[in-house]
Amino acid sequence: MITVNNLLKKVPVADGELEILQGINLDIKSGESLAIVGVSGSGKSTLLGLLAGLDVASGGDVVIDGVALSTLDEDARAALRAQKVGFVFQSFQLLPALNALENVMLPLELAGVANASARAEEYLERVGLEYRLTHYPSQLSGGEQQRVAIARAFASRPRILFADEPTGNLDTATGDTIIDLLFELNRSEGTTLILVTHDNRLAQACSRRVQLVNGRLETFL
Amino acid sequence: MSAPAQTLTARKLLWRDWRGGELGILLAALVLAVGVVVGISAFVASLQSALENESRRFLAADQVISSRQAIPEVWRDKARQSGLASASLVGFPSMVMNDGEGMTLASIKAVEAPYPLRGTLKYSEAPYESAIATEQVPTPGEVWLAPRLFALLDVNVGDPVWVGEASLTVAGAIRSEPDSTTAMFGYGPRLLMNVADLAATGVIQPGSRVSYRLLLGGSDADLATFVTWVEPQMAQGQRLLGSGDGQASVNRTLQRARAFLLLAGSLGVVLAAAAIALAARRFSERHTDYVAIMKSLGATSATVNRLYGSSLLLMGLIAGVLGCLVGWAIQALFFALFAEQLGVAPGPMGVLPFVIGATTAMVCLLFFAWPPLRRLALVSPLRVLRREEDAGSAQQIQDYVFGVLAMTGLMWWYSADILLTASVVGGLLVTVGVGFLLAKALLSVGRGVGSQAGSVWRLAMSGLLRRGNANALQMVIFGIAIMLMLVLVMVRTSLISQWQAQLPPGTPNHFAFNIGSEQRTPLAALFSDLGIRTEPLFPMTRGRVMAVNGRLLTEDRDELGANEGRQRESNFTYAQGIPEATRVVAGQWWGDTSAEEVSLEEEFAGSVGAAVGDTITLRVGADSFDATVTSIRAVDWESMKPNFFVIFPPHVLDKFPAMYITSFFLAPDSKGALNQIVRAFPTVTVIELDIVIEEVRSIVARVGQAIELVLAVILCAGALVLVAGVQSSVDVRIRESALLRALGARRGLLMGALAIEFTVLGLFAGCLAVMGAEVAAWGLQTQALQLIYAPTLWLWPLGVVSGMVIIGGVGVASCRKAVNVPPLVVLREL
Ligand SMILES: Nc1ncnc2c1ncn2[C@@H]1O[C@H](COP(=O)(O)OP(=O)(O)OP(=O)(O)O)[C@@H](O)[C@H]1O
Ligand SMILES: [Mg+2]
Repeated sequence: MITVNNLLKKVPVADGELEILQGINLDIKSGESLAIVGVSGSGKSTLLGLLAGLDVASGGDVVIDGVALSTLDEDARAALRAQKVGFVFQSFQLLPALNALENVMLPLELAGVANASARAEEYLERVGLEYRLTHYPSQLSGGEQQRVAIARAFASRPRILFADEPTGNLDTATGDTIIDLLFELNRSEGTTLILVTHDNRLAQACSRRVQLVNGRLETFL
Repeated sequence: MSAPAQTLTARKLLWRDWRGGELGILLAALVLAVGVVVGISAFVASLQSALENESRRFLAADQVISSRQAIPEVWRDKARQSGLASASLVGFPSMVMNDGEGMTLASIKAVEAPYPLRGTLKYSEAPYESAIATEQVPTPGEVWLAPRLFALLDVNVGDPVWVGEASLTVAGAIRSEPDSTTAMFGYGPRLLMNVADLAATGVIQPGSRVSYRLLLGGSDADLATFVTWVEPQMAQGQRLLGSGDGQASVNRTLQRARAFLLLAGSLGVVLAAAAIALAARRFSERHTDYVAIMKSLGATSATVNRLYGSSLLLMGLIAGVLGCLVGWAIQALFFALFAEQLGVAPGPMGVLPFVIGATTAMVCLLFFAWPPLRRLALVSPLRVLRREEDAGSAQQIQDYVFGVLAMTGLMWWYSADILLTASVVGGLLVTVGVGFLLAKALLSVGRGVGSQAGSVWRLAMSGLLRRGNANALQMVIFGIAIMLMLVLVMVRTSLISQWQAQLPPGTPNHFAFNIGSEQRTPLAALFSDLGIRTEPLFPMTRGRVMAVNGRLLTEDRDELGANEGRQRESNFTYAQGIPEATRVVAGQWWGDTSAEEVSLEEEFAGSVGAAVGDTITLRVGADSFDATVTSIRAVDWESMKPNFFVIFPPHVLDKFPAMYITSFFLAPDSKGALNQIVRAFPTVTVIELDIVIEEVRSIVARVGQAIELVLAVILCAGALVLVAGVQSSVDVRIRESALLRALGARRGLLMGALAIEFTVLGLFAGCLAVMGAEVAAWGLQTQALQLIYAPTLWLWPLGVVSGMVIIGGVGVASCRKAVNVPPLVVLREL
């Protein structure tokens, strides 16, 4: 259960302040799937980062399972992320010194999951990368890297999964596999999905869609 | 979340980073720092215990009981029971006669096997033949004579001589005794005989001037047991002599070598620390993004700290162990250099050197590697969403301050010399401060030049200017590395040449004293006939310092209070001008004075407790008189020129009868001249110091080699700094070059620009280094090592050219990748 109350985000820029988010209100129920759409630069990644506790809001609050993020310090938010949150970044953010398998294992180990290696292998198989386990990010294509990032987010079986353009670099067929995977997780484990996407098929697969316009949310059909 | 297994993958992330090269540099620098410190301090510790043996050598034993009465037999028994080796020794002056009329005063020393317990006895089959080390002592019925005695008594090997009532056969010549300086027994030439013949001589009567000694040898523990047992039983006139009564000139030479080695060693640590700081900084820069990702995946700052902290600790352990091994090897190498010629076996080094090494490793890690890594825990996970430039510079200032303090502390601890430390740290700080400003000034000059030059130059200069602060800092770091190397080369050169100058060929190696005033002219004539150059003759009168400012000094050293002076007997002399190898440190040397003045040697003045302005009471023979201390002198005893504790203006002393002293040089092949001198002037005493001087010379040569070895280690550390420094800027340069190439820049253009960029950097760094080196050398030479400073001209081309070549070379080599690998590969790896 995520509740967003009048969320504000301002950043200092050369000529004063830029108000990226100007009062976002949102309720997301457990097990729901939500798509956030909007033009480039409308603040989607910013919003997602705030929801996941990666950033601190300038005003308002995000409440996850009854805990207001504004009351937590960075370490407490990190602990919350380790327990409940998975994130697929727009720019993948794989660790170049670790191979695909190790990249997926890392958050599992951070959360103290037993047999991390087996679980990581299982999820890499599910995204179709079983032949690429020992490859390093620099040896993978953009789409392959994205799939490793998705496997990493899925593997820790988070309660809430944030994904920033998860199908952005993928061809239609692979994209479909990823969409299936996302919603399978959503169905079988009750994972709450919060996605940013330009992909209409993905947006339509979600139970709810919102659009970011001028720093505010509009319902989008 | 604390089990280490959980962060196994994260740890892998760290160690996989060998590719980046920083960990290799970090480890190598740490190993070098620990190695050089352990090596030098182990060497010094081991040399010190060896030196203690050495000074035992001058006693011919580990411990000696000296006594005016015969030493009780029970003491010997007890010593034997305590597991100690022992030998008795009896010394006294006595007349020795040949079979005819000839007789002379000799200093008799009666010994028994196993004399000496420490050091070696040397003898030769005939006077002035080559000396051979021996473990024998004269057998009962035989004696060995000092070479001069052969001439004085007109005897040869096989002839009989009479000591008291005993007739003994001359069996050889005694050439050197380990304890010749601590067991003189009068001024006459030595006659060595066996204790077994003493009774037969009948010389020892109640009241005769006889010194008895019991020489003891064994482990420190056994000695201590025996000493606690014997000390309470010792009577008036019985004394314990232990180590510490060494040979001053040898000790002093080694003392100075040790100060230099430690200084050089700590410079090695400074360089290593700089390399560590650079490597750690680059490591942490590259890991900032990794940490952001880990944090976005749920790692807390504690996890991150634990991860990097424990990895660093592990690295410290590995480096510590490797460093200790390296240090041990350095120490062994030093000894390989020393042992052969000195006959010094390495003594035990104890654990202290390894403690020092471990501390060094910890300080290097804590103050130089940890600060940038500690900040990794503060990285915001937001970086995964948006790359932001970190504003961590305020904390970096703090790091520098702590780093300098830590390094100063370490150097102080190593050298135990605040002045030396201050001078080195001061030199470094001046280089950093002035260097940074100069570097920025040089860069802006470069801008003017660059804008008028061709495109390669423009590209290079714009590269230098764009990263102005970073480049200025880098220039300063390179400058310091080069500066330290220059300082070392320079100080080493002047140190060694100064040592050599101290004992130039022809340094007097014999002293002649007991020269009567009427013998002066004929003796000078004989010297000039023999072609021997002598130092001036000094009058010498035996006298005693009785009181200072009317307060009578105590006579017995046993009754001595803490800061109390005691009476001292000494040879007085008079002179109008300041003798050679002497420096007035307080007060003023007299001119044409008619006052009752006196000049005292520094340490002597301390021991009687007199300062400039005090009136001291002196006694010569039966006469007492007062004189005012008007100057205190420091004397360079190593110069081997005659010098005195107490000197008066001529008019004060010339009314007393005096004997004269001089020193002269004899080459090994003209030692036969001694025969003629001694025959012509039987009452003149000649002391041979040529063996001691040779020993000091050989130490100087060995120390020179040891210093070169340390220098090699320092150069390695310096090279590491350069590589680490260049590498830290290579990332940016490679990325930029790849982009430029992707945008169509030619390979040659980029290569040229890189070469110019680094060479200019090296040129500027070289200039800074030379300036800093002059300042540091001035401080070191004038303040710490008491040498004379002169600006070094050859430093400029050496510093500047080596800066350009080394930094240009290393820079271009490290950036090769940027221009040779296809740009896509480079961009993809970023
Ligand atoms: N720290 C910041 N400083 C300045 N501007 C910022 C900052 N963070 C975000 N912005 C601006 O806010 C706007 C929203 O950024 P955001 O990354 O959220 O867009 P987005 O909707 O994800 O766009 P895209 O679809 O292209 O990924 C952009 O115009 C960006 O430049
Ligand atoms: Mg975005």
